[in-house]
Amino acid sequence: MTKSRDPDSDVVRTVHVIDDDDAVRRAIAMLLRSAGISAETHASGQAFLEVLPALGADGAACVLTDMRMPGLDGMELLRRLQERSFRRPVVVMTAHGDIPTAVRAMKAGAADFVEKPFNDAALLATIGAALAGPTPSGPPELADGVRTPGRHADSHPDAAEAAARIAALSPREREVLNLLMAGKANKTIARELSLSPRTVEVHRARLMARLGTESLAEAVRLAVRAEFASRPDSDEGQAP
Amino acid sequence: MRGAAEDLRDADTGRRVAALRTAGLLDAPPEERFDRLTRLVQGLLRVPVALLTLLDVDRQFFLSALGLPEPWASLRETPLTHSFCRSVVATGLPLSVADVRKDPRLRDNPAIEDLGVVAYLAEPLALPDGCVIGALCAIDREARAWTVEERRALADLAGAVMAEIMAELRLRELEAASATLRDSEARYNALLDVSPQIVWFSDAEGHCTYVNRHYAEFVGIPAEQMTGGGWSSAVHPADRDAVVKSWHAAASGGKAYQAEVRMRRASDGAYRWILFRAAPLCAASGDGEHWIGVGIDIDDNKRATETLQRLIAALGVAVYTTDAAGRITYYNEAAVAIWGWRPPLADARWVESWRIFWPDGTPMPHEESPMAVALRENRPIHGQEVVAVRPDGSRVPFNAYPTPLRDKSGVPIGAVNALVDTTRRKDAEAALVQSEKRLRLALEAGQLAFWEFDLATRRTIHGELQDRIFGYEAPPPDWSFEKFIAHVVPEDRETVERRYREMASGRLNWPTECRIRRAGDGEVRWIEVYGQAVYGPDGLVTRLFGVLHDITDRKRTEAALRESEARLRSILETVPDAMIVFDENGIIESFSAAAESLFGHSAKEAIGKDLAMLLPGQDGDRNDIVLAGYDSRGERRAIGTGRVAVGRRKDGSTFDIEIAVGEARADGRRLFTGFLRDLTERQAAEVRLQELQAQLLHVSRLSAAGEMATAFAHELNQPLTAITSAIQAAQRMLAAAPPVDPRAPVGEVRDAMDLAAEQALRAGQIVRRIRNFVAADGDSDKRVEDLCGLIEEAGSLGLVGARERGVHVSVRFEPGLRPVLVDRIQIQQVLLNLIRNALEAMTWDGDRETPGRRRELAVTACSAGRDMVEVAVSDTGPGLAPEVADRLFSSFVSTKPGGMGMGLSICRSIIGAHGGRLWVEGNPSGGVTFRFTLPAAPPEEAALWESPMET
Repeated sequence: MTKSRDPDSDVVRTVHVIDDDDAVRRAIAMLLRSAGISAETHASGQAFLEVLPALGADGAACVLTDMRMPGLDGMELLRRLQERSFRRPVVVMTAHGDIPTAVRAMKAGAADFVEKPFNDAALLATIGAALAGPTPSGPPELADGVRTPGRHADSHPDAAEAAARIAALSPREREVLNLLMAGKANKTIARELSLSPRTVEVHRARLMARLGTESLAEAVRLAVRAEFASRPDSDEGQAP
Repeated sequence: MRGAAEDLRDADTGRRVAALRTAGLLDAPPEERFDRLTRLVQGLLRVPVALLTLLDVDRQFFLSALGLPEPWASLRETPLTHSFCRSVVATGLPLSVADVRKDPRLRDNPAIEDLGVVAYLAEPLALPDGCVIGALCAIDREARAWTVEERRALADLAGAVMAEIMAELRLRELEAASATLRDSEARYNALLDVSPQIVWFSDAEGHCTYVNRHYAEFVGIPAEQMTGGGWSSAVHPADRDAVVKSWHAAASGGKAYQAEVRMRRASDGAYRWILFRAAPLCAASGDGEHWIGVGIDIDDNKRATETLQRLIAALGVAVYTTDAAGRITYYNEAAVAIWGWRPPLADARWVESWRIFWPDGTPMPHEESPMAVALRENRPIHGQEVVAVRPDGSRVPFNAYPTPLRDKSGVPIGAVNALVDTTRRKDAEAALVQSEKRLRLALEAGQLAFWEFDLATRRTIHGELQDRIFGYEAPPPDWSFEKFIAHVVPEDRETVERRYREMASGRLNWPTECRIRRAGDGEVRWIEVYGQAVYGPDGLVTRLFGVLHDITDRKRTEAALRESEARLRSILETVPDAMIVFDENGIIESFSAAAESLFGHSAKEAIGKDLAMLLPGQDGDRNDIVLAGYDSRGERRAIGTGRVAVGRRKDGSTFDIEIAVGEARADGRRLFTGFLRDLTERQAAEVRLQELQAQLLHVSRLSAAGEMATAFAHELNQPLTAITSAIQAAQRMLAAAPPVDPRAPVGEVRDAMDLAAEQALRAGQIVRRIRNFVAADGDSDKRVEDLCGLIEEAGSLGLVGARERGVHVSVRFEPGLRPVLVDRIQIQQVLLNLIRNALEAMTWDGDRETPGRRRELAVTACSAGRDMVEVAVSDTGPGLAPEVADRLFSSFVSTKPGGMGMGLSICRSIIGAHGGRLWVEGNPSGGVTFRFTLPAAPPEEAALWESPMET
């Protein structure tokens, strides 16, 4: 079993997968391991929090958690991790198209999100980016075999880059983007902005091109990052 | 002889001559009966000449003369100068002269020479009353002394002559009397014939022998047919037998007869009352009796009397009349009310019919009773108080006002008495004062002006209100009919004058409406005049009286009413429902424009026809609708507002109509108003509605599914995520591992593939459940269903995501719960709706949800009564705001952001359609419970359902 390793240490960097669904948990763990990433699974957020102190500072390279869980759900887990000054990136899994949950999660401190069901490339790229993410210890170094596709550099830009791209949008494109991030459908946006749905589609295509993103999820990710860039304390997250 | 002639008295001459003329003896031809007697004189006295001399005024006539020389024998008369018998007539005594030549009284008489008279013997001829008319004479041409025997013989013969003359005289008198009688009878008959009254005679047996012309003309039957029994055919059939019988009874009894009989008048066919009176006559011959009768037309009088009696009968005051003897001849119903019985007419004397008392209770002798006093003293009495005892023993106090009645000559013929019941005199007096006051007030309030007009004097009496109505400030001094007419506008004058004439002739009573021009302002006003004629004793109208009032406002109101009626009609014409008015026989009286277009008949075609034309009524629609009117006994009743019937158009096509029938009254008739609505459109609309409802159910399920999309997405994403991850892991493992060493990864790869396959099945099941729910069509399909299974299935859909949201779900069923008869999909839809509502109530605001909050969703099912099953879904959410609770089941009310607000209203309609009820109640510990009931399946159906389950 290949383990990710921190360049500065020999500690095996493990992705902790949290999902109440046993099948999902097992399948994701299989996928990560097949890509050479160490993975541990937890049936609930509570269970993870319980083992967290034993993991040590570097015990967890990354957390991949479902948002909808009985008991302690994704949002609550994010909050508890913030409370405990958990510094490693947390990637959340949302239902496909559940943009508002994704936005909420990122605003609550999630590093990134993936939409269920996902393909292996998307998950691994996101995990890779999260591992290499904006940490003080420098850019992450992916394990062998984990190829970072060129376009991922574009879809995972840093906050400053994200802010720059967002700033390039026209006011109407910004409006459309904000409404998309609120989880609204094209038709709803058209009604709220008194536009034809066709016009909204044009705006949407144009803003995606300007942001250099191919999916709405990427555009949302970019927009959320850009928002962090505009905040003075954004780097420090919501830690009190 | 002159001296003797002078002895004749004029008075005797007149009587003599009258008797001779009457007897017709002067200048009578010679008659054997007299000649036989003069021959006897010749023979018995042996004289050559015998004469029967009658003495006229200026001559003597020889009724018989034997032995006279010519020319006297042929002349049969001589001048008085030749007469010896003058002296006999003058003295009335016999005359015997032996030799006239020697008699100083007679020796100068020319007859001595002319007739050869020497001896003369004469006997006077005297009537029974002593009047001497002539003499029987014997004459001899020789002087001779008349013997006593000769004189006696001549006297006897004179007696015989006299008997003969008397017989003749009697005969002649009789003939003359007969002639006179004939003459006067003819005159009398002529008189009778021109008489304007009915006159008739009958024989002793009552058979009519004569009718006058008026009678024959009156009944239109020729006089020949009237005699005998023909007259009776003119008698009113109702009276005929009785009249004929009573007449013959009277005739055979010989008593005077009187009867009032209705006879048919030929000129106009009207039966008129005729008073018949008949009296027996004694004929001169004495051979039995016969009758003379008259008939008097009393019809007008009788009618007037009847009218009066009706008026009296209608009076509140008791009135009765008596004849002079005090026998009751008439009384009205008010009198009966006081008396307490009906005394027999013309038999009961009122004073004998009662025990009466003074007001102080002491018995009142009958001769002291007011009526007795009035009759005896022939004076009216005003208001003597009497207490009478009725046949039933009760006492009745009353005031009597008897007034004697007299005929034209002042003879009492009876009395009329008015009785005023004073049983409750105080009340009555008070009431009288009140009613007078009321009358005055009524007249004032009613603006009724009293007036009275005397036809003879043409004077009017009137109230001051009339002055005001006619526009006078002060009463004008000269009110008259002419002045009244002058106020009437010219267009109305003819009518008013005609009415006045009709009224004055007693033919007609007003009211009359006319327009008058007022004095002063000259305004034209409508007035209405009521009038009544007052009849005098002769049956003629003497006075008119009445009231008049101003009806201008009423006229305006009527005009306005007509206008509004027209308006109403025009409104009714525009009522979209067809309106038909019909009478109690089902005959159409009115047919609205909408009815015309509905049935295709024009109003003209429909009016007067039977409703059956519109309601072919194989199921009796028409009869039900029409006959229903007879049951209602005048109570207003609508014959169902939703009677559905089959209508038939003019073209014969039929269609469903809804009929509402109401009753109306107009002019005392019962009419029915039917509103008919074409159900064709409504039925089409109902079909559309049902289709829409089905679509709505479907849409609402889609909507429910849509609202659950997030939950479903998660539910499906889990297996899909597991599948894709597992397969991709397997691919990676297979790609990374050297193919030469297939053993190394084979375990893990198989695990991954197993996982993927397992999760694919899981996803498929979820998809199938959703599709079953959404794809069900709108047709309701009720079957016997196991409620527990049904709830579990709905729960599997509705409770998706509940666990992840930390909701504790409990489902409890009462043991032995009976199956229900429901449409499975529809009830699942309700359950799904309620479960999702409960879940969302507890979790929908993710931002505000608190982890510590209790989230419990309970679904329970239990029996509710004998035939129902109750299902409850309760939550621990925030509960319902009161303002929402009231409208919760209305459409488009929602507490959820983005909710359509259709869910609960659809749920309620589904449960209602199943015969159950859906309601909500708050839980004591917070949250709400929705409950609904469903009918339990009937046992026999439940048995059918259970048996396959056992196999």
